Order: sequence, then structure tokens, then C-alpha cells
Amino acid sequence: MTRIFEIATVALSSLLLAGAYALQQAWLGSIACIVLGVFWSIFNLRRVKRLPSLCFTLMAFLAAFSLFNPAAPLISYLGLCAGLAAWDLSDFAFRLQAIEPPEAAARLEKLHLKRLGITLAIGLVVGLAGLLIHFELRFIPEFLLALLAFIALAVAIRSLIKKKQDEIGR
Amino acid sequence: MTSRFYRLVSLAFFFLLCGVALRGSALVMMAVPLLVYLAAAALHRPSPPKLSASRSLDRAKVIPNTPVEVTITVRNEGEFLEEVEIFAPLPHELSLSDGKVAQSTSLLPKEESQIGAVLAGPRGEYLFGEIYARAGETFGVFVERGEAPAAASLVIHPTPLRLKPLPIRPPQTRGFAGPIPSRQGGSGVDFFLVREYQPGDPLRQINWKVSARAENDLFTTIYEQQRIADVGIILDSRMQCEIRFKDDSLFEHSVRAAAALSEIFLQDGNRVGLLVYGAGLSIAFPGMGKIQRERILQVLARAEPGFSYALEKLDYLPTRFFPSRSQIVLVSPLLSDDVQVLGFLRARGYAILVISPNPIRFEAAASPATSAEELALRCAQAERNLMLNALRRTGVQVVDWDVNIPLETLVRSTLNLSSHLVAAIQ
Repeated sequence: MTRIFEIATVALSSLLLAGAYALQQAWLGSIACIVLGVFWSIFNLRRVKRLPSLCFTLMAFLAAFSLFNPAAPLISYLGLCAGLAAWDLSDFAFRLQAIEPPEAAARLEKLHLKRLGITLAIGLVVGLAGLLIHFELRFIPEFLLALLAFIALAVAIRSLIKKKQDEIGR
Repeated sequence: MTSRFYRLVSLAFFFLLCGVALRGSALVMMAVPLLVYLAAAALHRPSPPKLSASRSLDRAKVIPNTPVEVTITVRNEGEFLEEVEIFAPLPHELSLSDGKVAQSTSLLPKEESQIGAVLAGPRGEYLFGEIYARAGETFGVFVERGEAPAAASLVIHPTPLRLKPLPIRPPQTRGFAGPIPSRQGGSGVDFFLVREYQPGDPLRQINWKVSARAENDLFTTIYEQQRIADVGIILDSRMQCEIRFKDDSLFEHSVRAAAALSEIFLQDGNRVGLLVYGAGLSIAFPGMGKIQRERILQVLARAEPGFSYALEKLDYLPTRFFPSRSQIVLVSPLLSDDVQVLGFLRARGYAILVISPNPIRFEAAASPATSAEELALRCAQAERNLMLNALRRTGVQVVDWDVNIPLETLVRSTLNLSSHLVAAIQ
């Protein structure tokens, strides 16, 4: 099941992003997305561990670049979500191979697919709401909001890293 | 946290930064699925795994390179562990011939998982410690580590050499019947002397031939009593005596010889002790029987060549460890300084047998010599022969053992020759 979803999400991600570039008539971007999708699928089939992460990073950058001329931000957003799912499933499938016994692997697969589905659904709803609901902000409130987001993210990461270091120290 | 966490955070920062810098709301929104994904992973973040583990071996004592099956049972004593990697590290010298030492699984509360492995290795005593676990959620973003004790030990005894009982004659024996002639008259099978008949002597011991020659006296044949003896085996583990070539080691031959000697002396009912002299002193105090055999093999399993400034020479041999006038068997390639020490021991009344693995022949066999090296080897061998002859002159029995020849044949031929010499000296 994971394998099917893995291939499907890679194809979906590359096609969506290729479509987003095609809408802007940026054919080079489209080709790049499709080539990346092909390579990603090959790496998945050959079970190369590290390269799917690189493919996802490149796919995320391609999604970001497709927004410079925002013809269809929704498609790019969906492409990124599909890419995220593909990246997650690539890694999960790799780890799932090593899980023993098979009953435990089946149980874990079911749990993860369910959990990933819910996570992506929430991400899609929040993201789409953000893309569809427009309101204007002046520079100062926008800057303050962004600063708040940065600080919150930085504090969260620092606390996680500190906790980790404390555990290692102990 | 894994590398996946840092990758996601970096990408989210990148999108946020670009979005703010370029005032693009769509770019900022690109960070949303990544942050939701991170939040979902953080929500399911595992707690440190609470495990209990046990490790069982199908055999705790084996000889080198014998496969030993190890089964590790891990039980989850805590919450549900979605993904857990269990790793049971091996001592470096042991090799895995089948099975595995790591396993990924998913464990429900109170669920058990088993890891099976087949190990083999060289002589030694191996202690197994903790098993390590790494638990994570299914997104693979957060991990927690834990460990559980799973102690076990494996003793790999030295491979025994084939050896038949050795003819030793220590000056003093113990009170119990055994195979060693005690130089005392009594019940036995070997002729000892003929003396005048004394009331109480059994009639079947009267020597009628001698008595017929005398006019009125009767004579009795006295047999030599056979008793057990105290035997102290000294294994020389000084680093100066060790030569190692690839997988072969001279010390390993010494250990095997010491194991075989202790085996045959114990089989004869003797009281045997072992002293490993080198980096330190490892001792199996004198004793008899199967338990003593196990004790000696345990000490031999642990024996390793080493260096100590205090024990550089044999001067500090703890002689009080060996009962006076007992048999000492030294297994050592010998250094030139050892001759004097062994002479002193001999003078103090100990019967000494030296089994000396020949380091020159061992080295020559390991690497074929050129003509110049051939000459050097001959010189070294001549020097060694002089040393061994000096030792023999003090009354020490010496077996110069080329380790490529079975010890059995060499000991027989050498001891039969030298026992006459020793008897003459005594």
C-alpha cells in the first residue's frame, strides 16, 4: 500500500508542479519538475536512502520558484503537499522494510497512512484557507507578525534542541 | 530529533523568510504544510522507551570458534512504541556467523520481541552488557533513546591439546593414593626394596628367593607407594615472550599447553594450581577435581599477554603459592635471565619441568627466511640451545617445543631421556 501511495504522490507532485509552470508557459520549469519526478521514482524503486530527501528539497524550491509568477498558487501548494507526502512515504517505506514481524509492520503501516492522511488534510485546509482568504496588512503589522512567527519558531526549536542536549548530558 | 526535523525547519524558515522579504503571502503559506507536519510529529513524540531485556546463551562455556546461539528477549514495560530499533552490541572479538544483533519493530505495551544471533570467537571471557533502543514516531522526526540491562557472559576456553599422562617425580607427594611414585615403601606395584621380615608383614610379600639364600632370616619385598602430588603450573604471559603472526600467536600455544597439562594432572587426581605471570598475577589456587578444572580453564580463558615493570623478570614468582618440594611446570618461551631464577627454585627443592615453545622456530615457520636470515636463525637457535643446556645442568627438565610438532610426541621422547639425568642428579 505504501509503495503505491509513494509512487502516486511522486507522480502527482511532479505533474502538479509541471502544470503550475506550464500555466506560466515556463516550459523549462515543467521539464525540470518531470525529470525530478522521474529521478525520484527511480531512487524510490532502487531504495536509495538519502536521495529522496534531496529530491524533496529541490521540489520544494521548484514550488517556491513557481510562485514568483503566481499564475496558480493553489496548484503549487498542492504540488508541495504531494511532494511532502512522497518524501514522508519514501522514508517510511525504507524503514518499514526493516520492521519485524510482518504483523507489526502491517499495524504500523496502517497507523502511519491514517496519521499522514489526517496531517495532510489539516495542512491542505489551513493552507487553502490562507490562499483563498485575502486581507491587506500594512508593512508594520505584517513585519511584526512575521517577527512573532520567527521568534515563536526559533524559541520552539531552541527548546527542543536544549531538551535534547540535556538528555545527552544526562 | 533527526535530520528530517532540521530539513523541515530549514525549509519552513526559507519559505517564511522569502515570503516576508518578497511580500508574497503564497510563499508564506508554503510553510504551512511543513509546520503542520512538524506539529503532528511533535504531537506523537515518543516517551523514552521503558524496556526490560534478558539474554540467554545456549552454552555458556565453549571452545574457540564454536557457534553459540544467543537469544535476546525485549519486553516493552511502557507505552506503545510505534517504531523501535533495538541494538544489542557484541564484544569486539566475537563475530556474528548468523542472525542479527539489531532489529526494528513495533511494540505494544507488555509485548515482547526476540532477536536471535549465532556468535563465534576466539578464546576469552566475554561479558555482554546493555541493549540499546531508539524509539520514534512514524514520521521519523523525533526519536528517544533508552537502554536495558541484559547481562550474560560467555567463556571460550582454550582448545585442548592431546596429551597422555606425564612421568613426573616431585620430591614430595601428598597422603592420598595416586599415580606418582613417592620414594616411600608401602603398598604399590613397583619394586622399592627388600628388607628383613618384620612381624605383621603380609606373607605374600615374603621374598622367598632372597630368603632361601639366608640361613635363618626371612626377607620381605617392599613396593613403592604411589601417591598424588602438588603440581603448580606457571604460564608465562610476559609481553617480551609473545610473538604474533597474523592469526597465530605463540602465547596461544602456551595457553593450550597449560590447559592440556592441567587436564592430565587433574585426571590423575593431583592437586593442581595455576599462576599466570605477566601483566599481573592471575591465580587458580591449588585444588582437585572437575571444579578445579573449570577454575583453571576460566583463568586461562582470561589470560592475555601483557607488560608490567614489576614482573619483567621471573624474580618475583610467588613461590609461597606452591607447596615446598612440589612439582612446578613452567610454560614459557624463556628469556636468558630466567635460567638463574629457575636454578634458585631447583635449589630450593622444587622439581621443575619447563615446556618451552620455541620462538625461533615459530618465527621461522611463520615467515620463510632468506639466506642471511637463515644464518641469523641458526645463531639464535644455538644461543637458545646453550641456555636450555645450562638449565638442564641445574636439574630442570626442559622440553624445547617446536609448536608445529605435536607436544605429545615431543614430551614423551624428551622426558624419557631427561628423567634418567634428573634421577642421577637427585
